[in-house]
Amino acid sequence: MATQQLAPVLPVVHAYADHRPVLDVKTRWEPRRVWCTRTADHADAPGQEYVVKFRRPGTGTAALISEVVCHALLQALGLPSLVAARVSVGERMARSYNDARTVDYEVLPGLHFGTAWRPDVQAGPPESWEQLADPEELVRIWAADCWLMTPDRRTYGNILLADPDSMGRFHLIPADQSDCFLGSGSLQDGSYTGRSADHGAAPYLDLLERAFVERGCVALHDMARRIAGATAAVPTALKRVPDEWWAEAEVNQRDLAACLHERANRARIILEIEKWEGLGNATAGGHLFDL
Amino acid sequence: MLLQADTFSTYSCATLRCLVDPTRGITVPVGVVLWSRADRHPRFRLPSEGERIEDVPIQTVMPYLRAAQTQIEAWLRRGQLPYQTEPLESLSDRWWEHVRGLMQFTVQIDPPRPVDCVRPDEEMETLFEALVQPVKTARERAQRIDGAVKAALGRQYVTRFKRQQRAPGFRGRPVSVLRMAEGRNAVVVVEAVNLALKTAERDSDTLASRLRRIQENSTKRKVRLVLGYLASPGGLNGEGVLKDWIEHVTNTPMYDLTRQSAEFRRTAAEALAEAEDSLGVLAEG
Repeated sequence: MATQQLAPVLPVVHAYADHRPVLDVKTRWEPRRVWCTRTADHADAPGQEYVVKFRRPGTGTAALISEVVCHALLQALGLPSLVAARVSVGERMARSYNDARTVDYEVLPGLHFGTAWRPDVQAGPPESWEQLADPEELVRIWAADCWLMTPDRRTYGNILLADPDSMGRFHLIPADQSDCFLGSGSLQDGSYTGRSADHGAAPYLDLLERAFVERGCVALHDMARRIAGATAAVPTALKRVPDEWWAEAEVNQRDLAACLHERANRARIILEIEKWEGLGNATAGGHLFDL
Repeated sequence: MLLQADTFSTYSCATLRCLVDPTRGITVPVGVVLWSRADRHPRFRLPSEGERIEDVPIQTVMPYLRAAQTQIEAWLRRGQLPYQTEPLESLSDRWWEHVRGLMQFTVQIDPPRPVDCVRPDEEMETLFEALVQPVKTARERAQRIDGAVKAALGRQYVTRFKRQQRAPGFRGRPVSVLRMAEGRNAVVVVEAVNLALKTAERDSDTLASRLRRIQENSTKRKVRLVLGYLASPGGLNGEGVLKDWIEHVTNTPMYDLTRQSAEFRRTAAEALAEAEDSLGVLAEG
């Protein structure tokens, strides 16, 4: 699949009614499901529910930069993604949140990040081989995470199981790219730039090895090519971030672009292609035991 | 082999629900999970192939239900829940509360509740029927209750009570019954009702009426009733009053086909012996 052309901007939707937290457990970013409309006057209400991460100066805004940039790059790589938008929260809405103390931080008026809420999914990651409609999707997500230095894809809900096929096996959608570049703190303080050169592959996902043993490295080679091609989308991905967020988070765009290009140049090493090919050669013709 | 009754463990259950109307947040019960903290392995009852639940497209929902089961079992194996911030004893109420908090997508879970359960493998089915209320045709309901009666009667007696018989009834109009054995002057009618189903009230009233017509039959035949029922553990849906009503109008005890199968079988055997003894007495006379 060729890498995809990106739209230059993310659409804006307008928040008008909070619904509830995404999960009823304490999470780091406390995303909320919020009703949003396409129009600022909410004439098209009820509109659609979005999962919104609210901007918080410093690390919080860095997390949203990571979301916007990596959402774009995943699209450029041809991976499935959730529908994303910049979510506009008006003064009154922000005041309502703060008066109600819905969350334990101040909600700022302005732009935040959201993805369209999908009720037709199950939070992953996948627990069994039988759940996978296409095991190579796991390889592609992992390879993308290697490029983007995603440390937390194994976290509950950071892969969604969606669109079951006729056998009840799911397709995978990467969700939550707030902690790429070794974490939002690392992005915000710039330490990711120094660490990137020594940083290799992303943490292995369960079932990844089996995917290589059973399916080989075709998808991995393909991803190495896609990563090379996706560097052309880096400027657009960065442009999608609202200008004021860069200053708010104190993240340097040029450093981020340089990091992405540098890692793309080393993709074949970062993706450990030799190792996985070696595994395939060593196990060729064997039978896999599921112990 | 009759499974041992577990009279020591305490059980809890929770209903699995499926989001059928995301806009309005409407969920429908589709499955049950039953557990005892002593045995550590929750039992899941999900819809079977061909089973129907009102307003739920089962084929569409099944992958999500299986995924939810796989996920919960994996969390148990690992001994750790996502976003867990303090120790949680597996399968405790707080553990399930945390699981509920995580499952906020297509499949959701109701709060756990205690349940009076003695034979979990056998009672699971009636628990599912009571909490999920699957749609069953009259034929399916009949097969289900007859299956329970067969199991309770055991191999020794089940062949003595024939299916699809008609007992003598009020003013000579015969009454269809579940099973019956016939002696010369006595008839033994075996009947039962599933009180866990949505149709429990209607089925109970129908049964009570049919049994009264049999008791008030116009022939001189003595009729002995042997009555059984299926109910969710502890009579979750308040169906105890329906059983009491049948006993009241027929002046005949009813036996829980799962928990009182031995008593049910004994009563059937005694009634059969009495009916056959009538035959013997008459032959001698």
